[in-house]
Amino acid sequence: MSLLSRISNLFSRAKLAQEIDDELQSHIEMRVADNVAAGMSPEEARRDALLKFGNPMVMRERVAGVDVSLNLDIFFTDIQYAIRKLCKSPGFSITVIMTLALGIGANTAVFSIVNAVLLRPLPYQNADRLVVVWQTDAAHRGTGAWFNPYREFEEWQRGSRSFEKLAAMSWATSGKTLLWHGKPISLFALPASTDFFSMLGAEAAMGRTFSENDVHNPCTLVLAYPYWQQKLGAPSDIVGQSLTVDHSACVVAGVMPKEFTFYPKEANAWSLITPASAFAQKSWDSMTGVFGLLRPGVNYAQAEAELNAMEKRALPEAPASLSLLSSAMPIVLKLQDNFTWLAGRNLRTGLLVLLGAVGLVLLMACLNVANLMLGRTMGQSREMAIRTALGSGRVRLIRQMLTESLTLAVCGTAVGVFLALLMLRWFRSINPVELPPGSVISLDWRILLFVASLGVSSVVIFGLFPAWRASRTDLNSVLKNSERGIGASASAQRTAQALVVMQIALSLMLFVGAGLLVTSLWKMASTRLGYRTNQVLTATINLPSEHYADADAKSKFATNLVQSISALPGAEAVAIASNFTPMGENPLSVEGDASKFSTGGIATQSISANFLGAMQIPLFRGRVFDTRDQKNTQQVAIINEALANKYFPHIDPIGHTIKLSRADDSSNPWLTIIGVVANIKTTSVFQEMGYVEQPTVYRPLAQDPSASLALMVITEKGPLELVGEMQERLASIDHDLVLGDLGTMQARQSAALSQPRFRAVLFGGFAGLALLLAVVGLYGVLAEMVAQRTREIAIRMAVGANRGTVLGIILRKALALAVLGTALGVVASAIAVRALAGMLYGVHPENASMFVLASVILTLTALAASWSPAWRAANVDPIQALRTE
Amino acid sequence: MPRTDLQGTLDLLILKTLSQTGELHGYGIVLHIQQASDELLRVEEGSLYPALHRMEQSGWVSSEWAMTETKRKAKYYKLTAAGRKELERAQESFEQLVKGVRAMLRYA
Repeated sequence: MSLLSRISNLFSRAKLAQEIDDELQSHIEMRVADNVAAGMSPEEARRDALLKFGNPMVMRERVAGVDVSLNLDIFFTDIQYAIRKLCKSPGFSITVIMTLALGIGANTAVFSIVNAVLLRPLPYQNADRLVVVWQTDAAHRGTGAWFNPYREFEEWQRGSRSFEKLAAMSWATSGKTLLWHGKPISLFALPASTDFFSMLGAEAAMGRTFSENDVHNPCTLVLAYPYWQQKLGAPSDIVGQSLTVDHSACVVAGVMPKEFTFYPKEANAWSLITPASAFAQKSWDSMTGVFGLLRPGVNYAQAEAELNAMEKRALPEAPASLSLLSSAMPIVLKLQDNFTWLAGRNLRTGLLVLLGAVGLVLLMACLNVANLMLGRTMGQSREMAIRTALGSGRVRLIRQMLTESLTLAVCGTAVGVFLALLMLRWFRSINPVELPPGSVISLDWRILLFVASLGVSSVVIFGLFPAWRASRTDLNSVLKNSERGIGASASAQRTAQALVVMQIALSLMLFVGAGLLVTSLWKMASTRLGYRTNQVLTATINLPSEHYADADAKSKFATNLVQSISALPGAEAVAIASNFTPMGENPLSVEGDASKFSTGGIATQSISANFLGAMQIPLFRGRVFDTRDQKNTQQVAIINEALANKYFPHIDPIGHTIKLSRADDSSNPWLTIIGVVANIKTTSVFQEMGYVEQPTVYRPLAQDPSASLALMVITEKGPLELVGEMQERLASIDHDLVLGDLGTMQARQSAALSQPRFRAVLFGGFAGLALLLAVVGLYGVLAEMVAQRTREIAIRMAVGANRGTVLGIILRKALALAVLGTALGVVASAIAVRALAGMLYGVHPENASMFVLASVILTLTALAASWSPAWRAANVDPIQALRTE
Repeated sequence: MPRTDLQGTLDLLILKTLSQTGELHGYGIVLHIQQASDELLRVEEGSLYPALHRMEQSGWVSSEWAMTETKRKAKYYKLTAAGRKELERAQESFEQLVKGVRAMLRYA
């Protein structure tokens, strides 16, 4: 037969089978004819022919076994048969499928996330040579990372030979206001140098990115796609348009493509740093991030040395207030790694721990499935024996079992893929972390393949192994024995029990981890921060420097705004400050005591007079700010307890004077302390899971006005209700301004906890999953044990044991398994829990109560799982059991 | 003897038969082998058809349906060029095997 006809036979399987039948039949007929010719009677002739030929059924199968196309037909029959068989035992089938699905789905999703966040290279050209340059403390490298002064960047750009391209981009900048069709909208534009986009190898989607000539224009912008699309309405003629930003004209050079992102993702646009701009004019005050494309062959140490040398050369020009810089040196880091650091200190560790957890879940799922398959196929050894006796070949049998296993595996994988997609969609929607640019959280097919193959192999191996064994058994002995004869040997039972013990141990590990994370989250979320967080509306306002150049204008604005909004019905109190919480790492001098000088670590906040009262920050000594404190009166400050304890221990700080810089710095005034308030807790950049109480200096807004303001309104109403009126009042004071970042204080606090919450939820989910799997596994093992020993139980009962005794046997077994598993789990957890060290708050990793709690939960659950088989064992009717073999 | 050797021998017999008789159906092959070997060799008919189909898959024989003298439909098999080459090779390797066994038996 030609290949073509063979292929066409795939579609006419019946025809091919018929052909083989015909051929075999004609052979028999010819022999019959010959026999008759030789003198036999027709019946004799036929009998002889058939004897010589053998069983036509078996023959047909053997021939078909050779023929490829018919193999396919048999494959389909096998599948149909397998499906029917599996539907007959729905409990088993569904359990195996769901176990596989959960294991595969969860793992694929988490692996995909980890891959997207940690492993995928950045979506820029030459990503492996892209680096970021920070300033760090020369004495303790890597303990902190600060922005670089723009002046130092200029120096580097002039002469550095280690870099192909060097670019500055700063996000330490305030938002601006854009006048779009007459209405003010906020614009978060980041200053960037000319080479920024070309360094990344990124092209604009519309128009172009910065070019050399743009430095002659006063203001050039490149817009981010989302901003252009959503806030501006995607106008196609935007390129070349001149926009009014903070009352200056900015030309739009181009719009970036939709897929382009860089840190931070809130960037609406990038504006070119020109020599004439304020940024470059005050080059020692302008702090910026520096990014670069290393020349091939240059390593980080070389680049750092060169940059350090150039930096030191420029340092003598630096103003005295920036003396800190002399102790700093540049540090060069790989951009990809730094992104995960920027996104969250614990992101890398957190994801890796999650990976470990989900790997455990997969392991458990495979163990479970293996157990289930083992149990089932052992119980089928009798059926195998009978079929072998009827003439089924070994290969045929094994192939049938393989088909059954594969059907289960395919169903499980399909459901698993579905679950993985759901999980990824959930992750995308809650978006707990700022992901590195270009991280598209999608299903990675290679990962799916890997994980699925693990699941499938466990199904296939543990389904095939007994089949292979069963096909070699002595038929006689199998048929003689009772239903669960040879296959379910003691060793198989022991294996199954060992698997269950391991599952319980793994569950315990996950439980302990989840418990620790959940407790940390709860403690952190419920910590009192020291200021009011409920019913506080928040918003930000940025005053453009063109109209608010001098301090008076800013002060006046602040006062007017507070007055105006306080008048709104529903506004119980209104406060304004330079930030929502104290910030910064300022130096501090104490007048008259040079030994108490500190180079940094002091936070500051400029606040309106009623701020402390509105935010419910208690005053311990002295007074709060009031109308006495104006621009031209005595410069005052309020300090917090932490500062008082550190710099004025055991004495009354009221009346002392301090300065937020070196004592000889005349540009900063001496501040007289007029009050001491309680500490508030804030989160630190360097420690995710924890609060700090920084020494803080508060100044009145009237004396230290700020161009970027944080507005807090105490009200029972929700943000949506008041925002319209608030915006109106703001517009009536200055129609060019707009409220930004509208929200609540609680939402801000909650957002800070999004990563710990994500981890806790996920771990909790995995722990629950693991428990479920362990319960299923335990139930299966016990049910098998009971079914195995039904005869023994029946005999015992016949001889006098009562139900209690039987119950006791089963429960003792379950307890033994649970205790062993728990013990193993405790030991394993004690080691593994160290990995969580950086992600906990308020609870120690080796917290004994967590282990005890988890052990108790698991043991009780194990006992609950064993109840049903135990009950069934106790209710065995001895007569019935002994009768049916 | 391992299965493959015996299987190889059957293949050899079938190929030789077809080379001697041209086109023949399965039953005819059985009879021919019986006759040509002076009744010494009886082909186990259970192995014949799987072997024929296997050889067809390997491209050593081709088949087609035709009428016998007694007006019965039967499937006739014929050697292909590749089959002829395989026959030569199988014949040679069988001669080797026989020589080896004989030498072994003489070595007493």
